[in-house]
Amino acid sequence: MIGTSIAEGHDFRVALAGNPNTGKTALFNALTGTYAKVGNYPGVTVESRRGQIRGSDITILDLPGCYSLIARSPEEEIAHDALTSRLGEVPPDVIIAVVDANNLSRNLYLVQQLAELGRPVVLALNMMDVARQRGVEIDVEALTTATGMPVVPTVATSGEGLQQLVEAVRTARSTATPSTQWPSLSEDERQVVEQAISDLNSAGAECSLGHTLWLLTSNATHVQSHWPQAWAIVAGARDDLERMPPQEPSAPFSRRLIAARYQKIDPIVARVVQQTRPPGPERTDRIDDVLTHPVWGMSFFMLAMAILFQAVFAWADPLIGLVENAMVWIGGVLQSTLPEGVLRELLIDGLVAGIGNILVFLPQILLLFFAIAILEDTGYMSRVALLLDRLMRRVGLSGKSFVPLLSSFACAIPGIMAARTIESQRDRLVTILIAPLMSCSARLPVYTLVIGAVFSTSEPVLGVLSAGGLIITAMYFLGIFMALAVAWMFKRTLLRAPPAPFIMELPAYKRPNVRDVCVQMWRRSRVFITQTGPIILALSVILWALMAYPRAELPAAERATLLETSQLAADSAEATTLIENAAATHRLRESIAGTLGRMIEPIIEPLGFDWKLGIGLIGSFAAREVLVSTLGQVYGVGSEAKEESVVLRQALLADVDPETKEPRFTPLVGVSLMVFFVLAMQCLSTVAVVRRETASWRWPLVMIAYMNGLAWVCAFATYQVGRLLGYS
Amino acid sequence: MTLADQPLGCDALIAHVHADGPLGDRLMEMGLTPGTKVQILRQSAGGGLLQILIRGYRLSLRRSDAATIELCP
Repeated sequence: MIGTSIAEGHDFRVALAGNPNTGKTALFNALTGTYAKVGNYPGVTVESRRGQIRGSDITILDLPGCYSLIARSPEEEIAHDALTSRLGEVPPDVIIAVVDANNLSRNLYLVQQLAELGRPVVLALNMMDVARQRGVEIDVEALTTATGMPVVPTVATSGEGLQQLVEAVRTARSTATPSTQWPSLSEDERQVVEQAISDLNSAGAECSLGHTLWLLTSNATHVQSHWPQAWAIVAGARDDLERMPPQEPSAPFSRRLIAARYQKIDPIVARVVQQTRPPGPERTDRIDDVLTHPVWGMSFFMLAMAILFQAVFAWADPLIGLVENAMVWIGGVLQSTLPEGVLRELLIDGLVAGIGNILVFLPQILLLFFAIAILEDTGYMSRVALLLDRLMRRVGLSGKSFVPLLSSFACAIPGIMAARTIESQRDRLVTILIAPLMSCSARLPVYTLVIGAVFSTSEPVLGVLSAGGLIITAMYFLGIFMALAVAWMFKRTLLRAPPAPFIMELPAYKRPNVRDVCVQMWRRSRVFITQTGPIILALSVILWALMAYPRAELPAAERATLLETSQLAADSAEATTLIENAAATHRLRESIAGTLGRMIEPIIEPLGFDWKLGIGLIGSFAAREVLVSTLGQVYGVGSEAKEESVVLRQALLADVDPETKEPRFTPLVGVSLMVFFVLAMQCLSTVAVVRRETASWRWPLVMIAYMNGLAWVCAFATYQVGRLLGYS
Repeated sequence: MTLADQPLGCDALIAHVHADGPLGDRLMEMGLTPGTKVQILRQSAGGGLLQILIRGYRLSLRRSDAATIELCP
């Protein structure tokens, strides 16, 4: 495990470890430029960030930020495993420990644990610019001597010190194995530990001090089941340590160990750090006076959210238009260059449509993640978690669930993945299960279509607010309300657990760094593309097949009737279009998808939907927004119909029930449809990601069952209550 | 006297962390060790959350968790 020398000839690999909020990722971005590869740790679902240090042969691995190597969340487990080669990879040659110069004391705790691993460590003393500003001076040489590792002052955001850091890393690799850094244990304790190390080594286990301490302090059952041989060796030592006369007050060895580490750190910090100017009132505290104020803080937050959503949805519009036009243009090119036939149809209606379905959301998703990244980079997000903690506690969650849920407004998939930072397994699971109820971007086309069709001519409410806008807002709130209700229910029944402790660092406020914000935005958006892309694409092709086959031609008799009633000249352009659209509708009705739509009609009729909407619903299981183009085909206006399409709206409104002669698509049906879409689980990509994140099929199935059940019941209630109240 | 009872803005020394299991471990790893200076900076509207100054940085925790931290007299 230890002792990798250059002579072995494998790559030079470096790991980047450190507390959260130390600028570790900024350092990673600065060292690698923008060419970092994002992938998965083998066998695990946490993302890894791997890159090449610019202009060198060094591969650098960015580990998730953690306060300790004792893992409490899935993210921290990764850091531990990567450093101790449990992931089956060769452990890194050198570890760069990123430390916040303003916060040396707590940061050195992790560094001490890293030093116990027996591998070369280089300390990057980051955020030196902030330290200088605050009048904090650090004696770098003294720190180097005291910690036994090279210390390099850096400012990741400006690039200061990076070259020296890389040089120090190279030197560290070629120097002899570093001397072991012991925490300040008592003589007796130290003897027992040394004996345990020796025993483990004799048994062939080759354990570092760090790993031995881990075996001696970790949960007994865990060690017994995972490392039975090691357990046999250390069991005796564990007993000895527990029975040792305690320094007062009494505490298990694991606690004494933590104290012992800090006992080593405290004198170092006292010697090395100097406050050259008296610290005035910190800017961070003055900002917090406002932003965490019960009234002003909440107001600011509401305002920020309102601006955020307004901006995202308004600014995304022109970009969405661009994407749509591009897709139409490509479709047109294919239409004119390829011969008529299955291949052309497959490409245009399957592939291009599928790609369009994915790309059309990119503008909104990029913008929302940009905004979230800015909020996080400034340090404001942790304050938001504080503000919302009280509300979240009412349903059994904590403020930490906020960012995953906020991200889900763009797309639930990155939101669900963001839940990895939640320590409590049950809270994490509940957050994942309710994330899809946050109305994602894909639902908007549905809302837009319905509003445009049935509410665009409504009177403004209170003379100012548009009825449509109010209804969309209501739909968003419906989703949020249901999510909280469902969370409450889960936490009281299936996923009962005592409220998780809420211990959270509040980083100092800082100016957001544009590069880091953009990298973060792109990282999360990329997840959306790579996770949903293949699935949506595949489903779009399948859906196309379901809607295209079996091929049924419009009977000649129908064609003739159509021409007669429309009174158009048989060879005119309008007649041709009319016939083509009617033929498309007929084909759709007789296709597999159409048959399915008619089959489910009994189930959806109580919700106010007919078989045409049924086909739309089937289509929307590929991707929610596919409802619009499917409805376009069903109502005979062509599949290029968009949600703003006036023709489609008119077709919807003109649709009349053959028996009662009443319009089928009424405002009530529209609301029922929207309610259904708010709550239903239709996105198979989300299901796939939940499967991966929870490592089983149980929870995805629970999610599908509860969400679709809820959607049906609520749409049913909406429609039936509406009927009772006299609407049609 | 526990951290939960400590008035705002006054320094105190930590005597012992009574919390069981992972909570107590976590509190100590975050720097709340016996003999360390701690101060409450502010509290939330309902009083449920506290923001403390410890080892030079700001940490927020619930009042119920703070109640497990005994202070020196």
